[in-house]
Amino acid sequence: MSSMETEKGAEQPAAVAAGSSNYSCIRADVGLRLLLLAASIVAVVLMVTSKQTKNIPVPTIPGLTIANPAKFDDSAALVKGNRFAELTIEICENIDVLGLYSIITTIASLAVMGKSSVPAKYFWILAVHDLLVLGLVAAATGTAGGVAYIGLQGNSHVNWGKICNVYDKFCRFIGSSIAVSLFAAVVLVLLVAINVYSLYRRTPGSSVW
Amino acid sequence: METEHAANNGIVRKDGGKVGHGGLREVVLRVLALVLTLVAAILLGVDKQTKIVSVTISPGLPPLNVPATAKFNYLSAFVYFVVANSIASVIAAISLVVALACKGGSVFTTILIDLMMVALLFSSIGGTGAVGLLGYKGNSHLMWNKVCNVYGKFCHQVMAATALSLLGGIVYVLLVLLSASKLKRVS
Repeated sequence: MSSMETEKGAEQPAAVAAGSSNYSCIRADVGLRLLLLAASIVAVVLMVTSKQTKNIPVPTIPGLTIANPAKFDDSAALVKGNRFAELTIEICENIDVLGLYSIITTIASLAVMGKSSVPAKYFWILAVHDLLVLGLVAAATGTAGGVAYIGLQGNSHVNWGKICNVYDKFCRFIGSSIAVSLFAAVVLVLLVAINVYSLYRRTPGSSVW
Repeated sequence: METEHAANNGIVRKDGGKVGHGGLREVVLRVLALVLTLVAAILLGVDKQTKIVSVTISPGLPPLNVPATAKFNYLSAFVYFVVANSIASVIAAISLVVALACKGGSVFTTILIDLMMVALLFSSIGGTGAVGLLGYKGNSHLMWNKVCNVYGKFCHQVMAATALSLLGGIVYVLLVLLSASKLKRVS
């Protein structure tokens, strides 16, 4: 720690010439993290409240022929109607993890915000973890989006029927929470970007870009 | 001391003191990213399988043989995968040329682009993986039947493409980490 301090001190003149030795976007960082927290809470609430059970009168579905066997047979639809959630459980868990992560990192950011100079190591650690979480959230959004799109549109080639015309409320909730998690992914990209930018601005002689 | 440290790690500091790329590791990683994403895109892009499926229309009649084709563009998640991987491979090619010929543009811009590729690749892997898993296992609750027992080769190709693309995504993560660690070392 002390050796790092002295190294920083020795480097100071050159960095001051560049005009940006202690550059940090810590306020924007904290703001984005709070946004991330809000997004994950909204997504969790949407997921938890998205249950929908519907009574489906099978015999009245038109076009129910032998060639296209029962898309929702009565008992399955009644008992397991809201099991679509199983497909999107992954995103739910990921969003929970995201909420916890954003709480921890917001506290960490608030802790260093008071300091006059934030060490470069801090930005590095945050950028690495944000990057990994970004990978998780992007994959979860892709997963839920891919499945939900089939639920919305159906796929005639593999004979997967659409289900969102039946579970309309459920699909709206899932769609909203996918949108929110997409937003969270964008916020994470911005977080990595500003942390890397803070590192970048501390390199001697860096220009704005 | 700082310059000596930087030179040891292959960081080229130009007259303005700008940190360039030029590391061998970065070139190797970019070539890897290019190859992996390109192969993944091609593998899924040419994926097509036609199979004769016998369909029983009614118990009285003999089963009818109809050719059934599986193509990647029947599923939108696969189309997204091919497009995302193509974009990632093009970006890898461009950034490889930049890293080799121009001694690196701005480090920050490069990191930003790599970061977007990470998000793009991982979301496409997630989508393709989920749809591929549905094809492999099916989902009885929604009456979505599995199709991989019919289209075996097709499904294997999808799996291989997803695995390659996942490796490509990891390579992009490593690229971001590599560039950021260089920045950390110099700052």
